[in-house]
Amino acid sequence: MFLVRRIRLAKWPKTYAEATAVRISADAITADLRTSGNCLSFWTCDRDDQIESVALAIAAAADRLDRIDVVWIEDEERRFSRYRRLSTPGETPVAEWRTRHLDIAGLDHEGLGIVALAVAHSIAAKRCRRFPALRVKERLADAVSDGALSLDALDPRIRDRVQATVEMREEPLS
Amino acid sequence: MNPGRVPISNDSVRPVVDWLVGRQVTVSAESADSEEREISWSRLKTRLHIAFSDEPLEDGVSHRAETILVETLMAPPGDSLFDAIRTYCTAASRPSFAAETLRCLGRITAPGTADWRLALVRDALGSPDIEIRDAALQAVEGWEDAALVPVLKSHRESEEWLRDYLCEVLHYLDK
Repeated sequence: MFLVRRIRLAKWPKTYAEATAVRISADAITADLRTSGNCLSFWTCDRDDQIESVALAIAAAADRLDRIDVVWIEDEERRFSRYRRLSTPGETPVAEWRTRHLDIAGLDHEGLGIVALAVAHSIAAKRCRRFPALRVKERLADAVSDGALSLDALDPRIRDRVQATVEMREEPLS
Repeated sequence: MNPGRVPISNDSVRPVVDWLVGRQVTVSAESADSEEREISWSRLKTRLHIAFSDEPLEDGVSHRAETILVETLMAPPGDSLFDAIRTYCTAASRPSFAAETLRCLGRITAPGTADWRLALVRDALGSPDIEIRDAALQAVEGWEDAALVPVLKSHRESEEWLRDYLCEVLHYLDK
């Protein structure tokens, strides 16, 4: 299983040589690993070909159409063994992904460091991907056309742009 | 009367005095205007700093800084405030702040003029800071502005992952 989290690639080191506690910037941790109640949330998936679906589940819950950077960490049992796992519903209008979400709970300073190193190592191993906003918009339009996602479930600021894409595709070619 | 000197009557002096007075008035108005702009820019920077300190900018989530920028950008497009914003967004002295401001600008529908956006993106892509270059590409995506394609095509990106992003943005804008 993979633990998937949205990050901002620009803030993280890209190589194994840089994936150390002293090279990971404080900004990367405070911006991308913000905890709430000492919990850090992750989406879960079984295969890396599901990553784009996770990205869409995240995008569908947003109120801005932005590019999405995600990283996926191999969920080794021993890595987070000191911390609890809570199965929590994912905040997304894409029903099939709501159950694919968990929190790593009871995190402390050391635990956050473990996550940060795991993220940096995953990026170095190329287990990260950027989905441009325009690609996200196309995929959301696909999901709407396929009936997997309702337009009404999207924030109005995203809905208008996705709707325009859906309508443009439906226009007969002259 | 000294030789070589032209006698000056009141009538001949008047236009010169009027011109000088007029110029003085104009210069003071310009100076007051510039001072006002300086204050506006300083106030804007402070408001943005506070907004970003209170709440980090996250992808996919609206931010208060967008509203602050929209209010500010109601100034006429040729206003010097636009130049100040452009300079700030591409300055490497506070790259994270510059990048966040640029990312917020990318969320606003077509701010400023087409020329201003072009200069902003061109300057930001020329920055040595990767966050600023990344934010510039994100802004182009946000505006979906095909007029910026030539700027993207002429940019030589050194970072592989950002180069891939640039190619994807070009792919969608070229469609």
